[in-house]
Amino acid sequence: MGLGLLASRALRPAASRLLRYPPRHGLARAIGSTPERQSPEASAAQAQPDPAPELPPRKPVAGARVHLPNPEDAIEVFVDGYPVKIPKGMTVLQACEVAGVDIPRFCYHNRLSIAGNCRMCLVEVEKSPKPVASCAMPALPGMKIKTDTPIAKKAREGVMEFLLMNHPLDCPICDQGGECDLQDQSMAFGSDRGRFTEVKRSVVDKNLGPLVKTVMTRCIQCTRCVRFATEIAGVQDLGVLGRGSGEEIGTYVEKLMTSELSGNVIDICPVGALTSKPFAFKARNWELKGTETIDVTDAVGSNIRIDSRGPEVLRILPRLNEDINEEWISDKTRFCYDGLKRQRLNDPMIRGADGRFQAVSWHDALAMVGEVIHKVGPEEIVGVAGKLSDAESMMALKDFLNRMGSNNVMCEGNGKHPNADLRSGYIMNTGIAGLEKADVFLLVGTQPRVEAAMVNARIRKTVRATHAKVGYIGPPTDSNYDHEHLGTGPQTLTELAEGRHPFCSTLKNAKNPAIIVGAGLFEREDSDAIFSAIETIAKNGNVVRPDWNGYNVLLLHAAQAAALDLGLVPQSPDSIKSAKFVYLMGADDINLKDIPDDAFVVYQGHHGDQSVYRANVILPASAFSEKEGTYENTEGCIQQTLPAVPTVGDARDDWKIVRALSEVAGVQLPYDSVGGIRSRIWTVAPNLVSVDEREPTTFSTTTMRPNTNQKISPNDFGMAVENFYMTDAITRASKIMAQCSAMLLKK
Amino acid sequence: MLARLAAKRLHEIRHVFRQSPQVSRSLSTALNYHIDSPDNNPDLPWEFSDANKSKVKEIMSHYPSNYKQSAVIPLLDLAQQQHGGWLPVSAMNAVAKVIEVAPIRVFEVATFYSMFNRTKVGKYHLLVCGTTPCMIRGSREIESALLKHLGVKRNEVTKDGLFSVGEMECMGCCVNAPMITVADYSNGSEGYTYNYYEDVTPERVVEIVELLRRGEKLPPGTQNPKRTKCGPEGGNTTLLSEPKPPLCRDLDAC
Amino acid sequence: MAFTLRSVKVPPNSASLEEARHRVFDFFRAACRSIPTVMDIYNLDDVVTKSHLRSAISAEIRKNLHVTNPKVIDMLLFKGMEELNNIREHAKQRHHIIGQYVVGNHGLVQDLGAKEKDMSDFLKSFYKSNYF
Repeated sequence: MGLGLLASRALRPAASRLLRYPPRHGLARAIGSTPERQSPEASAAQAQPDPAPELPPRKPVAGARVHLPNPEDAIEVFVDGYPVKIPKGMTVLQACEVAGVDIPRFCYHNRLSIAGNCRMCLVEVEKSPKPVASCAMPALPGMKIKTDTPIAKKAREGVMEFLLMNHPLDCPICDQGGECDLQDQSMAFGSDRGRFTEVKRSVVDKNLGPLVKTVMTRCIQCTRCVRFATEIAGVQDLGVLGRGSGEEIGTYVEKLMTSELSGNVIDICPVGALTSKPFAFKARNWELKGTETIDVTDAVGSNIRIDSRGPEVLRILPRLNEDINEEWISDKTRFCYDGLKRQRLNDPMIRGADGRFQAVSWHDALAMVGEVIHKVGPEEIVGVAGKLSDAESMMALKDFLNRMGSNNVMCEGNGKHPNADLRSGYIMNTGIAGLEKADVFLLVGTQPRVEAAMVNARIRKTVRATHAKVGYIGPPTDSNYDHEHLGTGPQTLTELAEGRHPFCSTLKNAKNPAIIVGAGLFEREDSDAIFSAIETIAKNGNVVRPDWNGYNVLLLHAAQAAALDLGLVPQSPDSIKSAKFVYLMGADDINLKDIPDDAFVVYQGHHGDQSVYRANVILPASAFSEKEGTYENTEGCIQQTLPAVPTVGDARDDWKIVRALSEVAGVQLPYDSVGGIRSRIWTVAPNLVSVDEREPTTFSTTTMRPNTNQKISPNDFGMAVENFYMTDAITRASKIMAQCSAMLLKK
Repeated sequence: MLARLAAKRLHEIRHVFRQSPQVSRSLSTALNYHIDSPDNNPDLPWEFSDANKSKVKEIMSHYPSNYKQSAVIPLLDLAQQQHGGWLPVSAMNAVAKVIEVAPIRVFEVATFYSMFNRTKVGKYHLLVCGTTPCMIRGSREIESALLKHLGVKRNEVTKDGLFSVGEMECMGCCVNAPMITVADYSNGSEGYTYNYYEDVTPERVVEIVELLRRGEKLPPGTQNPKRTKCGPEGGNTTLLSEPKPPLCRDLDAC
Repeated sequence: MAFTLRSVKVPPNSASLEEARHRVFDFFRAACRSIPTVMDIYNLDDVVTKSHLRSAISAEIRKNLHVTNPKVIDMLLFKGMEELNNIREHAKQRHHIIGQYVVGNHGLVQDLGAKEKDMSDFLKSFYKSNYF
């Protein structure tokens, strides 16, 4: 560090004495080129007046917030002379962030445990003999942290030189190039040259499956991926193997990463060691246009950013949303995008007499549908909204069919007798973030790991943090946290409702019990009886209180909550079996055998999926990445998608198709714009219009469900989602998802 | 001048190292990843022997029940002794099962320590100290004498399965450098010994190997007959008088 | 440019309307005869049929039905001949042909027949594109 700096440090506290002693240039001159090293006294004298009052107020880094639960627990530290109040237990790095100083780091990640092994976050702390690793050092009262001193700078420069020693210089062929922490930080904090002249090490690449590409030579052993896999994904496959210069990240035995969250290691890897395999060599990040939107492949509504170039979606990344997906997304969300390019419906088509589809104009297709719909009776018209439908199109469909005189509009997945009257009966009342407060979970007929991976991550986080107990009723499942398998079917439920089960006492003694019911139960014939049994359990366990509502339904599809809010409830449950005209709006998972052979089926959707085989007319629609639509997630949070890419072929937005068809059919709907349809939605379900808000449900401790005389059937609960990677038209069309289900779901 | 000489010398040394046949002087006996082979794959059954099961129980009793993973190193050591000096994947899996952690946590430990062999070693695993004092006193010659005599490369097992030669870092016998260690796995974990032979010469190590081959037990320690333990050759030449009492404050004087 | 000029002979002016009429028929026949070649070189078989192209040519000619001045007809004929030569010599690209003679100026030719009688603005723009 040089004598000069030492001298300057020694002189700084004694600055007042400086006036009495004349400067001794000749004695304390150091060898160096930077000005402050050339004359340490001068720099000491410059630093002599306390700089605190002159400092401009700084903004915390990346909106870092300080939450002081106990004002007396707050401590004051000084970052570069700027005083900042932080709660006890924060690390030096966090204190610096609050003070608005961004400390370079590789291994530190605020959602993972602290490793402290990259040493990039070294800062100088007064009275400490060595630079300290700020990510692992707790801030102490009165600590004087210096982030911009020559010691800190030189420490970072040295660490960077060591990190780059064995890092290959292959940035031009590295997919991380342009968004690489190592690249950025070596520009900002590194030296302009290294002194390493030996041969760089090389490491064998690992096969982690079809999603994550590894170039292990680039790895800097920050162990973020190991900690992510262990702590958040809950698959203990990755580890640090070997030691010293032979250290590497790997699985030791050949093993694929079978987590549903494995794609997140791509994001947390600070270098290009773990990159996206499907995205490999496709584009540079600066060529991409980012569109902030939401995901619709499950009912969580994870916040995502769609990166596109021209008309092509190239990748999907998570966006931070503390209430929903934190900063992770599931692999299905991240990698389903190639399904948006395959099996798309381009043109309106009519099935000819020979059974083959013929591409026609919109004019002809709509004219044909408009003609046929008038030939059938109003009660023979049935509309089914698909699992990916947005609220606007469902509203339009319902209005259109109502004007045609039919009230048989339903949404797939909601079952035959959906209970749309009580909003608290079909959404997650606790909220996804609220699950962290629960201390006992009862999962009824749901496997959150495959149904909603982000909810599962939240439960796992809670279980890890607070050792919350988890009881589970359903078929045996592979869960990544400790759980008690209470039973496989409704029998256990009855036992719990009658208080005969040992888990009842756990539930009763819990402070904040949470019951999570799977939406797969909606499809059961005895759903009403099962739900009333669950409500009994909730009542006995004091699950619903004024200060805590632990009654949750975990929905399966993005459209379900909004459909129930809009009242997409069929008038007669079995109307589809006697239908003459079936309008499928993206509904691919209904039982096509239920549709009578002589029925006229219109399929409006974006993928040539299962229902197309039965359709008479195809109306191509736009997918979620191409339209502006409102979705309500399982906790009742309203979010909107934004168009990232143009529509494919001659496709149109869903609600526009219904609106145009209504005019051709002679029952013109009164809205011509998204704004118009939203104000119509506002009259039906006002909560659907307040975007990014979650309207809490009104709850009541007394059940308001109509009494049912249904009997609970003894059939066991089934799996609602058989294959995590393929649940809807988009994911079924995706090649990557097909690879995943082939390789990762080996049974 | 001096600097130029030093630089030249450094260059020569580097050159020598680059040319040396052992380009990678790996300390551990195996790669950091596993390759399935007929005698080492996760499907092979592996269990602690009955005698060792009680030892496992004893080892586990040293640790609190919520810190079972602390027993990983003693258990791996025991498994290695039982399995003839090396750890197949299935043994590590068995250890992971005992201490109730994911197998990767055991692999991490086993790959970290060079004393855990993850490939086959001989019944007598000869470890030559390669650290500076021993190297100055000729450990390279000792190693090459061993390798030449046994006709193997480093970390390779002789055809009869009796010997293998490896390198270790400093084992704390610098005063009697050069030294080798013989890890004796010929009698399982009961007869397991780990003996130091110090003050060896290239001729002496060959003799040691032959003695071991015949199954003779030779006493460990210095191989220089003129020395006792780590004392100087031919007896003390200094420190002949009574040692002084330790320097201490005169408490009475205070 | 040179080769186009070489192949286009400038005939003397038509003496009468009758002669001009004959020339128009000759031109139409010449154009129809070149249709197979044109379809071949522009690879049009999967987008259009011969008869459709034939009717496109006659529609182009019928556009000028009202012209009676032989001089004007001669001029139009010259322009038509020039266009035909350009097409035959592959001086155009496939999308030019498709744009001008298959699709037409107002979107798909097949849409031209659609009558936009009492449609709302919404429906009109809906038929045109998704973005309005």
